[in-house]
Parts: sequence; C-alpha cells; structure tokens
Amino acid sequence: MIILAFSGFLIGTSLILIPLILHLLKLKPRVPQAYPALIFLYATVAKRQSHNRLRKFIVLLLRCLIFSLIALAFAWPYLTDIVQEPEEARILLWDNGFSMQDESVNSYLKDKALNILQSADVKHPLALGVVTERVKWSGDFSADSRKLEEWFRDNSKSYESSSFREAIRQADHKLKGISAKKKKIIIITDRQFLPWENVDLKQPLSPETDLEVIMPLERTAIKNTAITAVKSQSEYFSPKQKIILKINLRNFNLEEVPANLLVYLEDKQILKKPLKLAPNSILLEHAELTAPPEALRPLAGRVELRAEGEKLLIDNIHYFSINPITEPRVFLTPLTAKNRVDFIKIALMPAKTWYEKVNPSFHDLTTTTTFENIKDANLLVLQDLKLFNDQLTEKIDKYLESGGNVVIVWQNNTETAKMLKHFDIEIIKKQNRGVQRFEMLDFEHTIFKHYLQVSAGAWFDILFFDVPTLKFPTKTKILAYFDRQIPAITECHYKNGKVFVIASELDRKHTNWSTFGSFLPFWRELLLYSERKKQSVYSLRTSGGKMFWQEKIAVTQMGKTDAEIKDFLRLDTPGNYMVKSETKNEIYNVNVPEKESFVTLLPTTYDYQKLISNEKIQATETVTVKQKNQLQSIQHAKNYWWILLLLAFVLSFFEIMLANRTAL
Amino acid sequence: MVNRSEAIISEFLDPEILSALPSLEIQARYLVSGFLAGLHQSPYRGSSVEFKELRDYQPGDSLRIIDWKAYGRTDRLQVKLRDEQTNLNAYILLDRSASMNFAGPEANMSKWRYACSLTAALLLFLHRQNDAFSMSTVSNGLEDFIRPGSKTVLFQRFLKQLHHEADATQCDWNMALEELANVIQQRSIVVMISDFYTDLEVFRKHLDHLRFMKCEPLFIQVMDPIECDFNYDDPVLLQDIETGERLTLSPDLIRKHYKERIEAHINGLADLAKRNGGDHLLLRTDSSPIKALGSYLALRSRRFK
Repeated sequence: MIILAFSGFLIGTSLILIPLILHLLKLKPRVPQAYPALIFLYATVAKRQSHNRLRKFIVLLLRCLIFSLIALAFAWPYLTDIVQEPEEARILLWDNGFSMQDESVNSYLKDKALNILQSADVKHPLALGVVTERVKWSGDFSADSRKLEEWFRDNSKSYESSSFREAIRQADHKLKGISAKKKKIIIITDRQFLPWENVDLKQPLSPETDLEVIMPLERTAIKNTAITAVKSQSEYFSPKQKIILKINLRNFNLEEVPANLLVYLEDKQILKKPLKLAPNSILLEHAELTAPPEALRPLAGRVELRAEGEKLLIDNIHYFSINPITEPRVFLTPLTAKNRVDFIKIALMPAKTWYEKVNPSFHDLTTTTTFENIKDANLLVLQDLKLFNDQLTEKIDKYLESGGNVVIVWQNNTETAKMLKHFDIEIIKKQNRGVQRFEMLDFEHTIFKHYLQVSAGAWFDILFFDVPTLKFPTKTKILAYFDRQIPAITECHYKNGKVFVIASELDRKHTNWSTFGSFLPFWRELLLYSERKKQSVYSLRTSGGKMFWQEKIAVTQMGKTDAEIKDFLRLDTPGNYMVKSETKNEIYNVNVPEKESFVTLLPTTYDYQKLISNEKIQATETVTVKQKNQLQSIQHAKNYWWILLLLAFVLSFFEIMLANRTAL
Repeated sequence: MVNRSEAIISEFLDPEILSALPSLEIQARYLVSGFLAGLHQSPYRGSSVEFKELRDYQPGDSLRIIDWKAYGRTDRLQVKLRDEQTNLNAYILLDRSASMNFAGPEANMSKWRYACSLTAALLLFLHRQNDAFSMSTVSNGLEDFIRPGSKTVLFQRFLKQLHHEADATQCDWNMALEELANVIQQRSIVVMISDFYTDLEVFRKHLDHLRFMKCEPLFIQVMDPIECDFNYDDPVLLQDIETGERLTLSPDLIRKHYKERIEAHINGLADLAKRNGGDHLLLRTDSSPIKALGSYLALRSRRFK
C-alpha cells in the first residue's frame, strides 16, 4: 500500500489551485475593442477556436497535474506492506549456531519459528534475523509471511557458532525505526549457554520493547562428542614422507561413549580405530600418513568420529590439509683460504631425523652468480669477499630490495671494508688486540629466545680475538656486544630486507665459537628468522565471511563433482578447498568452530528478563518519538518521489509547448 | 494676411514638412511614357486648341503631329503636343466608410485623417501643376461629384469636403466606379484612397474599362499597424466598426493565419493594379503621410523619365 508521510502538502495543493483557476477565469475579456477588419478574422477564428478549446482544457489539466505531482512528491508517498502504525511490530531472532541442528530440538523449534512467521500481517509486521557471530536480516518489516518463510528456509542452517550479544542490540535498534503500538523481540534458541555468554544484562532494551525467549521444553544436554582439532606434526617436504597427524577429541557427555575413529587421506581410508571416550574428557590420538611417492603436491583429508548415540554430527567430521613446503636456499661465498672449514655451512645442515624441518640447499655465491639465481634465496652469507668487485654490491642491493637477508662476516680486508662502507658501517678500529667475550646478548630477540629456554650460560665463555670496532648507523639493532661495548652481532633493516653483521672472523684463529653448542642453533635460528615466505594458515573456522587474495585465484570445494569455481574462499561451509593461482596451489580446510561443540546448558538462574526495561515512555515524548520513528521507518522505504518530480518536469515541457497567455 | 488655401491645407499637412519636400509632379503614366501606339486624336481640333510643347518623335507617333518646321531648323524629328494631350485629369476617390475611422494604439492618427492628409497633398500637387482634378468621397457611391477642374475655388471646395467625418455605413466601390465610368475622360488617373476591405472582384471589371479608357488606376491603401501586425497580447474581444459584430479570440493562436490572409489580400490588390497598368501603394498610419507620399511620387517620377 502507498502511504503519504506528509499529507499536509496535499492540502496546500488545493489552496494553490484556487487562485490558479480564478486567475485563469479572469483572463476572459469583457470590454470590446473596435476593429475594422473582422472579415479577415472570421474564417481564421472559426477554424482555430475549436482546436483552441481543447488546447485550453489540456493546458489547464496539465497545470493542475503539475501542481498535484509536485505536492504529491513533497507529501512523500512510500510503499509499504504494513499499515502506518501497526498493532505490534516483532523481530524474530533465530539462533543459527550449528548446535541448533540437533535433531531432538530442531524440528520443534523450527515449527515454532514457522508459526510466528505465518502470523505476520499488515497489523503485525515482522522482521527476521538469523544469528551466528553476526546477524543476517531478512530486510525491513514485512507483512508477507510467505516471503519471510521462504527466506527463513533458505537461511536457517549454518555451520557457525552464535552469539546474541550484538543481535539483541541490533534488534532493539531496528524496532526503534518503526512506529507501532507494541514492539517485541522473540528469540528462538536451544538451551545452550554459548550464545548468551557475552550478553550484557545490565543494558536493558528500549522502554517500549518486550522480550520473549522460546527454548526446548526439556532441560536435557545434547549428547555430543567432537573432533576439536587435527594438525600435522611435521612439514611435508619429500615424497613418501611419513607425516604424523595429531587428533584432539572431546566427549561432552557425562558417560563413557564408544566410538570409531576413521582417518581418510584423499578419500582413502588409512585408519579405523575403535575408541572408548571417557565421560567429559579430552583425548589425544595420532595417525601416521605416508605421502604419495610422486612429486610433492597438496594433500587433503578428513577425520571422522562415529560415536554411539550421537545427536550433533556436524562437529564429528574434521577436515585437514597438508601443503608441501619449499626448501630454504642459502648462498654462501666460498672460502678462499686453504684448509678453511666452513663452520656456517655445517651449522646450517640439519640432522637427518623426521622431526626436523626440510633441508636447506646450499649454493656458492660467486662472481658469475646472477640476481636471478639469488632472488628467492632465504639467506646470503658473505664470509669471504676477496674475489668480488663492485658488481656484487649491485646484486646485493637488488636482493635486499626484494626482501632478502644478508649476513656479513667480518674479514680484515679491503673488500669487506668496502662492503661495510656501502651499508654506512664505519670501521673505527680494525683490530682490538686481546681477547673479547660476549658481554651482553639480546635474549628477547627471536634468534636467541628459543635457545635461552635451554641454556644461557655458555654464551659468555666464548672467546674472540682481534675483533674490530665498527660504528653502525643509528637504526641498527645490536643483538650482542663484546666487552667494552663493542658491537658483536647486529641487525639492520636495509631497503626491504635485513643485513646482519658478525663482527668477528669465525675461523679457529679468531674464535672458538664453533666448538660451542650455541653455534648451531644460532645459525639455524638465524635461518628460520630469515624465512621469506610466511607459512600460511591453512586451517580456518566457519564464520560466514569470505577470504580474498590480491592475485586472481580459483577456488573449488574438493570432493564435490559439480563444485563451482569461485574467486574467493567462502567460510560458511566446512570442507577442503583447493586454491589455485599463478603462484599458488594449496588446500585450505574449513571446520566448525570448536566452541559451538561445548553444549553447556543455559543456567536456570539466568534471567534474560532483566533485558526488559522498567521505564515507561513519558507521554510528552510520545509524539516526538513517534515522529522520529516514522521518519526513521520511511527513510529506507521504497518511494518514488523523484519519479513524481520528473513527471511534473516532463509535463511542464508540454505545458510550455501548448500554452500561451491566452489559455482559458 | 493668410492665404485661405494655405490655412485649410495646414489643417491637414504640416507646412514645414510640406516646404521641405522638393517640387513634385503627379504625372499620368500614359501621358508621360507615351508608349501606347496611336494616341487618340484630340476631339478639339482647330486653332482653339493651344499648342503646348514639343517633344522628341517616338515610333508610333502620327506623322501629322510632327513639327516639320522644327525639323527644318534643328534636323530633329519632334512632335507638337496639344493641351489636351498634356493636361492630366485626376480623379481622387476617398473611402468614407466607418472602418476608416479606426486608429490603433501605435498609429499617429486615424486612417481617415491620414487619408485626408494624403488627399490634401495630392490636391495641392495637382493644383500647383495646373492639372484638372476632382475629388469625391465614396459611401453608397460617389458623393458630391464635380467634374475635374484646375481652379483654386474648386481646390478650396474639395479641401472643405475633407472636413466630413468617416461615418458611412459602407463603401460601395462598385457603384462609385460605375458612376465614374460615365464621366471619366481618357488618359486620366484615378486615385482611390481606402483600406480596401472589400472583395477585389468588384474592381476587376471596372479596371478593364479604365484600361480601355487609357486611365491609370492608383490604389493607395491605408492601414493601421495593428491591422497589419495584429499585435494584441492578451485575449481580446473585438467589435466590428461597421457591423457591430463581436468576436472573442486569442491573438497568439490566430495571428499567423490572419497575417497570411491580410498579405494575400494586399498582394491581390497590388497584382490587380499592376495587371491593369496601375499602381498600388500601401501606407501605414504610423508613418508620415506626406513623406510616404513624397517618396512614392519621387520614385514614380524617376520611373517615368
């Protein structure tokens, strides 16, 4: 129906029309004027007058229409399927957490919801919101129960968790936008405590708003077991590699539950294990997978927990993905001195156990090495620069520009001095005679932090001989000092990368550090710290949102034959998703949020009625509130005032064309 | 002592304007151009007919009127013109219908007053050049017709007639021209001054006769600017001056068509005049009658030389 927001303008129209018509009537002349040549006018007038009568009528009609349209536009007609002030405006909030899919409560609550939706009419308009961590609204208040029902069926199932904290506030605010004799919020939820967790009962609803909560009649907890997490314990970096999966299970029941644990890798069952889940317990299981023998590729799998008497099945399937990692590349300048042992290279080589990360690959950095060779390297170690010229500096600069990391190991030669000078590092003294030890170490730094958990003491026994005194730019971080505040290990950001300086030669002549246990972990931590590619987070939880990437990607849900290819990752449905682009070929897994599996009941003492305000609206405020509400409610209503004005404008063109001062 | 003629004339013509005009002559087409072959012999043969002047021989002239003596003297062929061949008879017919009393907002004077000024000027020019002239008003026919003469008394009498009002209920040109046909002399000029709000067919048959009589018709059409342009702004209630009929109309609606009809009528009249060896002059009452007439006569003189 069409309702006029400001009908007073129409009265104004009729007032305008009165003088208009009077004015037009007055135009008829009364006083005759003498004229000699009427004979020439008779024939012309006879022909034209009949047309003129019709034309005059049309012009008058057009003028009246134009005024009426303008007045109507100002009267602001708007379309609505509800009456101006309905009896009761209601909002239905449907708890859309996945725990609502428990079969024992779902049909009962759905029937309740449908009954409420079917009662929507012009005097009892309704708006529907489905609640997860956010609220999704059906739109403005509507009297179309069929449409509401349809929307409800399309949107009332989710794999997410739910929270009423924002939903109740939004519903209250939405009700302020409609003028109604009564207002009500109806919440339909299972008896789970989770959605009420962060609701502030001290903040009541608006004075005119009532609240009703519909829950299952029985206070029985849902029988639930769940897989809360699945994680690969090692990186996947080689064919036929053994990978251990760590599986977290939870039994929320108060009794023991027998179950079967099934693990699938690429739809092939690799484990079936019967279990007995202790009452209200957490259980940790492992599964060993073998990577395929062919070339490295992303692997997808799932874990299922089939428990007896299970009511909530959604959290009994957990998807996982294992994406291979690329080996780190390290370039080192070969040592020119004879019989020199490359301690750094040795330190970076990991022990061959299956708990270690993938082996780094080592490459010589020579005069013939191009930028293309080094551009993806994790680390460049410049420990001997004797053979290098200025061209190396250019490549290093370019490499740092691309986000690389460089370690400069001190050598007392011109080439090293030049290189240091390039980075604004000044040599104050080439040799400090005597022995130096570490005086201070920044154990908060990532490189030292993990090691500190094991041992700190041995650092200060390491001996260094003939160390230089270097002066660094002001923004340099000193990770370690020698005695007398001589910088020993530094880190400086340069362009987009990092430059580390070890202010000592590392051969046996100048230090015994390589014999200490801290030498290996230092270099390994340094390598880890220099990792260029951040490991992506492949495990995600359902949230109703979407994930986008800067580059163009194609996402398909795995395990579905007719899966649609999208350019974003949707996070509303659990599953494994293949994400492909020019640089990417990875599998992301999406699972239900862990917290929704916690089926803690709402305590009996929980008094949600506190949300209902005790205040009454003051009588004097009613009119203002009503007006304000009306304005709020119509601002988003469908209205076509612009069409009316446009029509008036178009008609005025016709009026100008047809009219003349003589229109009667 | 003020000349009586001058006193009357000054009622119609501004002496200043009059004096500023060059000496104008009204000449009849047939007399001046002499292009008609075989001028009729003067009925007044004999020694009582005065020799007026010589002019050069033109092909078509009768051998009898060649002045052989002048040829002997000058070796040029010349013909003798007699009085009756040089005298102009001018008949001025002035429309006295009520429609001539109209004066629009832009006009300097009414059409009647304007026409009287023109008539007075014409009479003056004719009197000055000693031509014979006659003037009568037209209503139900010719009113107070007097044969053409050149005497001053006649001149003064005609001027006094201009004091009449234009209050005739109609202007019957048919009757007037029929009456004129009975009395008109050959090689005369007939000047009709009117707004000519009449059917042009009325003139057609009479113009044939005039052409036969070698008379030149001159239509001087006097119109008010509002009759030409119909520049009314607002809706207007018009009343016919002669019939009293009324008509309410919207000027914007009919202006264009009205002007087309008026122009067609004016062009029809002009065409009619030209086809019958005459002339047509349209004068608006927002212009000076003497200046307008003077411009026309000057142009006419150049044409005939």
